[in-house]
Parts: sequence; structure tokens; C-alpha cells
Amino acid sequence: MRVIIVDDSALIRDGLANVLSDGGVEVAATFPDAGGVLEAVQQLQPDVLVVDIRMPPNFETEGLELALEVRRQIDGIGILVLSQHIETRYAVELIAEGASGVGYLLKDRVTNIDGFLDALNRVASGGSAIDPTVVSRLIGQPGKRGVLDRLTAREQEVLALMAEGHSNGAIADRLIVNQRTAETHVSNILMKLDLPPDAAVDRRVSAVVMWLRSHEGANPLGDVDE
Amino acid sequence: MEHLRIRLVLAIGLVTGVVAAAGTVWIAAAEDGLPVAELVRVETLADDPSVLGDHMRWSFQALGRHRAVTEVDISERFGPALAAAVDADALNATLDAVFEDIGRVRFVRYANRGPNFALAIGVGESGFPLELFMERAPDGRLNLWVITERPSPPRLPDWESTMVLVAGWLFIGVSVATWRSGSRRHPWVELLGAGAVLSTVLVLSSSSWAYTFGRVLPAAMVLVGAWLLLRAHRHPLRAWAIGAAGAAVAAAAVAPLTRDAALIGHPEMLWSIVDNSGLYSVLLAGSAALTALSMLLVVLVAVGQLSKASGWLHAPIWLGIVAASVWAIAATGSSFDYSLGEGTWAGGPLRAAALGSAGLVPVVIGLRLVTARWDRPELAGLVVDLGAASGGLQSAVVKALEDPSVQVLVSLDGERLLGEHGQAVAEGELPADRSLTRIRSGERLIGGLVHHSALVDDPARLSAVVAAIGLALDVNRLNEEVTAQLEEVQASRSRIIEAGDAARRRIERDLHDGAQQRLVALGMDLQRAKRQAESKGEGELAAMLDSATSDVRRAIEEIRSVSRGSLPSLLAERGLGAAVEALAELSPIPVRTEVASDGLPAALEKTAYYVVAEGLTNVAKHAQASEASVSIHQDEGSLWVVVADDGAGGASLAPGSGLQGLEDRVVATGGGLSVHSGPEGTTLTAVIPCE
Repeated sequence: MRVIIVDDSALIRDGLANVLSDGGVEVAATFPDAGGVLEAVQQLQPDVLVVDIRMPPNFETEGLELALEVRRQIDGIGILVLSQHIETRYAVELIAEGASGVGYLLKDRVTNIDGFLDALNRVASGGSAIDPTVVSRLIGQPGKRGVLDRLTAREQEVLALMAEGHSNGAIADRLIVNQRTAETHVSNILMKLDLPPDAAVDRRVSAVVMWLRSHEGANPLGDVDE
Repeated sequence: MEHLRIRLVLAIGLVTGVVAAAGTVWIAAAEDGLPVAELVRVETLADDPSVLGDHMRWSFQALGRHRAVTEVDISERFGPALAAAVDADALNATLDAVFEDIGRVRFVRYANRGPNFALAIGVGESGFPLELFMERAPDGRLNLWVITERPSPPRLPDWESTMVLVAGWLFIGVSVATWRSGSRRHPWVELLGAGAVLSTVLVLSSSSWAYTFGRVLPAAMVLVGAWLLLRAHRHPLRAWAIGAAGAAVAAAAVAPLTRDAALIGHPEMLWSIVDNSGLYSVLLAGSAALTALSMLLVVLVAVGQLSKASGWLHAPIWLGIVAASVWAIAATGSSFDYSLGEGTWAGGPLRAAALGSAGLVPVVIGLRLVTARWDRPELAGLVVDLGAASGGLQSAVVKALEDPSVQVLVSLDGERLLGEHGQAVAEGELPADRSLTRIRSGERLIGGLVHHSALVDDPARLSAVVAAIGLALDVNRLNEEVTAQLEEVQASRSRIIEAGDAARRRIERDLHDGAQQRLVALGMDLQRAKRQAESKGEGELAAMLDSATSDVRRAIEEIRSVSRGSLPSLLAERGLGAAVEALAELSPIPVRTEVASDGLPAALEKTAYYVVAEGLTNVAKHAQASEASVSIHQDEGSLWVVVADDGAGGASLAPGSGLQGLEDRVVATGGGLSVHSGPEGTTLTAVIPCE
């Protein structure tokens, strides 16, 4: 796997490059800001662009703009946005046009190398990696409780993992259940939430996140309901 | 000392009044029962009857006014007897017979005769002096003149003495009233008026001194009248009016230099030295004419002042005009009267009119004092108007003084006085009838008032108006100072908050770029070390490194929570609505958000964001609410930010509460923060000006 790292902090760039190299990931290039990244991506064809959301010149959301721009320009590239702070809004914006190959993680997740590599792999392979903080904030929203209370405690755990971008297999592993059990949970959840039952993992992520995001707790993708 | 003197003078005035009143009553009472004393002087008898005859004829003519001359032909009855009376005894006996015959003589006191005449002086039945004069005419006829003293009219009729006393007492009363009113002016002139009027009663005295002053002093009434009626008016004609009055007094004073037939029968004047009947009348007629002129000028000046004077002065001015007009007419009449001969025309009514006019003068002065007092409510109005500051100080003062020409001046430097349009105003350049009163606050000159000079006569009003204006000017000045200070405080509060925000941003940035990044890098290094330890089979070390990584993560968490209070990039990047949504998301209870405004200036969004953040933090911490709402909307130049919950209440802006810092922030924008907290919940409302 090849990645390009964009982060204004040399410490992070180097640390991340080392960690990824240790994990068998090829770091094709690193950039301190957005300048030249688009061209490098086109040229070097990395699997994933790892980008800090906050960068020069304004230290606002330059990384996010860059990520969205690269996604629009280049098909199939994975984007992993790292941030010091989590804003669910940015996560939603990232997956608004599909959660395939999109990740949004707290920057400190890189201190858990296995978890980070797992997320990076998911993103590289067209999956999603949504930070648990985003998911827990969305699930924790008091306005959703009415509907979410219809889920069992285990179903709620499964829902969180679905939203984070884990596949049924990964969910089964994490919860230490067999895959069929996990699949049952998933289809029950989708049914209870009025979501399409056979969606792919990445579409499942955006459907779940959008559902959670919507104020009324209704299905924002109601038109694909069947 | 000053008061003592005034009191002394007033006391003298009062005593004079009492004495005059008592004396008048006493003399009037005595006059009723007493015959007029012997008043007739007998001239040296000359032997030449023709001379004597001429003298007597002149005497009769002159005395004609007071004496009745009866001519009786006694030739038939007493001619032979008188012709036969060769000696004095015989003559006296004959005259007694004559008197007995005409039956009007009580006794004969003196008799004399020459070759062709006889003279007798006696007292008639009614007690009046009586003269008999017999003359042998060239044709041999004997003529007898019986000259009886007419009862002379009283020198001071009852009505006149009553008027004198009333007018005198009015003057005394108004002197006391002037003094009691707190006027800075001494009531000398009023007392002089009292003296002049009351001295009229001195003519009742038989003393030459008293009589002379009784004739002369009352003339001073016109001077007092002109002076008092014009005191409030500075006018070029004023000097002429007073000059004419002075001349009138002088003419009246020199009149007694001439001995006049009209005065025979009265005590002789002190300085009678010229025997000329014509001059006396001329001088008195002149004095009356000058009096009339003086009063005419008074009327002219007063009418001219009506348009300029304050409203409260109008009534006294009108009354003064009436008094001066009547006086002028009466004096004109008197002038003719004296020209024709005193008392021949309409002396009584004219004197009454003049005396009445003089009596009106103290009434005019009293009216000034009274209207000034009545007018006080206008002063209260002034203070109210100044308080409302409607239409400015100038118009409020104009209204209070009913004088459109008053001018309020302001001094900025404590030296020069400036008018309404900033022009410098100097005291010397004011018109004659305008006065300047300076207004001070403590020692400092803060302003001035240009007003009608008459206002000086009402020190209570003047000082009230000046005090009110002074207050207003002071309040204005203090207002401006306080406003400036407030603006300064507001600006400095904004600066402090700005500085605080900037410091916070810097710390956050430092944390983000420094410690946080370094900790993340450290965490990664520890993890790499852990993996190496694992690969070398050093499980214990790996566990330690893993635990160290966990500590690093906690440290990062803690740093993140420190910087959480600051502004999120979301606010700048996605606007107030998104930022408020994010805050609502973090709330442990459901929060309904309604943000109906966008495109606001960044500073405004920032303040609104802080209000919502702090409000929701408070709800989460203290309210025990089940639900909250955030509403942001724009309305008439203000941004309303309302954070409400249905909790237990108890929030306040009291010092020490968490909301105080927020209030500082909101107030620094020129807005305000309010909290309504009760058992039904808490509503935090911030109103922020957005224009």
C-alpha cells in the first residue's frame, strides 16, 4: 500500500512515516501543506491520502478542502482525514457523496498502530473509517433515543461498529460472536431503522451516519427505502 | 450690620407713620371745636386816608378769597354821630353802637381813626376776626365796610388726610415687604416715599417749620414715583423722567420764597422773602407741569418696556402706566389750576387724583413682589423642562421667564462666555436694559444668563433660575464626562476581552502545534518501541511501553479538553448555525436549535457562539433539565440569542456566577444579557446590537 502524508508538523509526518513503514506501508511522499499535493497524487497514484484537517495558511479546514478536492478529481483513492478535534459535521460532509474510501479519525488514533493500520486498510480497500467519537456523539444524541431504544444493547454496539465502517466479519471478531450472529444483528438493525437491508459496507456507513445525523430520527434516505 | 441699618430705617419709617397718623387725627379732632385763631395783622395806619384806603382795598382784593366784604351805608344812621365824635371815647361808643346795630360783633379789640376814617378790629359772633372800616367819602357819604373772615376751608380735608395716611402706610408696607422678600436692594426710596406722602399732614401745624415742610416735602412724591416706577427699566428716557421730577421738586421747594396772598391766613413760610403773588403761582404751575412731563416720560418708557419684559412683569407695568397716566393728567390740571389761582378751578379732585396715583406706586412695587412669588410654579416648570431636556436649555429658560430675549451662555474654559452659536458675549456690549448674571459651579465659571435688568429686582427668581441653569449645565457636563468615561470603559472592556481571546488562541495554537503534536509523535514512538520489544520477546517492556502510550493518550485528551472552550474552526468555516449544532450535539440533553440568521459579522457570531456555549454548559452542569432550546434571530438591529431550559432554575448574573464573564463579553459589544430563572426553568437572553 502506498500513502501520501500531508501534515504541517514535521514530527507527525516523520513519526507517521516511521510507523507506517514499520507496518509495511510505503510512504510515497509527505507534504507540509496542500501545495502540490493534487499533482503528486495524480503522479504517484497512492492508495490513500492521509491528511491533517488543520493546516497552513489559516489553520482552519484546509485539509478537508484538499481531501474533498482530491476525491472529486481522482476516482478510487482513499482519503483519511486526521483531526485534533472531532466535528461530526465534517465527517458528514466527507461521506455526503459516499463513504467509500473515506476515513475521519482523531489524530491520536495513530498512537494505536494496529487500529490505525486497520482503519487505513479499510479506507484503502474502499471501506470507511469513522472515528468512534463521531459515532458515539451521533448515537448519544438524546433526540435519537426514542428510536434507538428499540434496539437491544448488543444491537446498539453493532450499530456503532457499523457506523465506524467495520464489516460484518470485523464486527463478529470484535464482539467475539460468530459471523452469522453478527449478520443477524445487522439485518435486524437495518430493519428497525428502515434502512436498505443488503447495502454494501461503505453505503451502509453513510446510510447509518445520515440516519443518525437527521434530527427527527427518520430516514434521510427514505427514497431508497424498499 | 446691614440688616440692623435697614431695621433701624424701617423703624423710623414706622414711627413716622404712626406719629403722622396720630397727629392728623388729633389735629383734625381739635380743629372741629376751635375757632380759627387771630390771623389778621394790622398794618401801620397812615394818617393819609387815601393811602390807607388803597392799602385796604388791595388787602381786600387779596383777601377776597377768604373774606367776605360787606359794604353798608351808615351815613343816615350814624353819620351825624360819627361826625360828632370828637374824641376816642365818643368814637368807640359810636362804633359800639354801629356794631350793635349790625349785630355781628362780639367785641372790639382795637379801634383807630384818622380825620376821614375809622377802623375797628374785633371778633365776630362766630369767633371769626372781623374788621370794620369807615371812610368819609369826598362827597360826604360815610361808607362802612364790614369785613368778616370767611370760615377758611380746612387746610387738609378729611378725605385728603385719609388718602395721605393710606398712601403713606402703603409705602411703609411695601418697604417692609421689599426687605422681607430678600431683595438685595434697600427700601430707602420706598421709605422716602412714605415720608414725602406723610409730611403732607404737617400743613395742619401752626408752626412755621412744620408748615413749610408740609408744603414743600410732598412735592418729593413725584421724584419717588418716577424713580420707583422706572427702576426696573434701563432706558435713555429714564434719566429725563427723573430729571423732570427733580426739577418739579426744586420748583416746589423755591416757591415759598415768594409771599403769596393765597398763603395769608396760614403760618408764614420759613423762607418767604419776596412779596410777589404772581411768582408763587408760576412756580407751582411750573412744578406741576414738570411733574406731568416726568409722568408722561414714565408712561412712554413703561409702554416701550412692555414688549421686552418677562410675562410676570406685565401686570405691575400696566398698573404703573395707569398710575403715571392719571398722575400726568392730574398734574397737567394742577398746572392750569395754579395758573388760574389755587383752588379756583378743581384743586380738590386734582389733588386727590395725584395723591391716588402716588398711592398706586407702592401697590405697583408690591404687585411686582407678589407676581414674582406667584410665578414660582414656572420655576418648577423650568426644572422639569431642564430635566426632560426637550428643546434645549435656552427654550426652557425662555419659557420659565416668559422672556424671549433671554440668552443662556456657556463657558467652556471658565473665562469666556459663549452664546448659542458659539459667539463670545461680553458684558460691556449688552443693550442698556439687559443684565448679565454669571453662573458658577463651585469656583468655576460654567455659564451665564443675559436677562432683562428688571430680574435683578427679583433676586429669589434670578437665583432660582440661575441655580436651575447651573444644575442643567453641570448635569450636561457631567453627562458628557460620564458618557466619555463609559465609552472608554466599554472600549477597554472590549480590549480586555479581545486580549483574552487572543491569548487563548495563542495558547491553543501553541498546544496544538507544540505539545499536542509532540505527544502524538511520542505516542507513535512508544508504540514502535513496544512493537520492537514485542518482536524481541520482551513482553514486560512492551507492556510498560503500552501503558506509557496510554498515559500519552490521556495527556492528549486532557490538552484537548483545555482547548475545547475556544472557538471551533467550524464557526469560522461553516457559520454560527453549524457551530451551534455542534454544541447541541455535545449536550447530554436534547437541544432544539433554531438559528434564523446568517451572514453576520464574525465578531457578532463569535459573541453569539459564546452565549450558546456558556448557556448550554450551564444547562448541562446545573439545570437538571430534560430539554433545552437555542434560538437565534435578528430583530430591528439586534441579534437575539436565547438559551432556555425546563430545569430547576437558580441561574443568576450575580458576581461569581459563571455567567458574569459572559455578561462582560456581551456588554462589551454594547448589548445586554439577562437571566430569568425560576422553577419552570431558566431563560438566558442576550441582545447584541448588529448594526
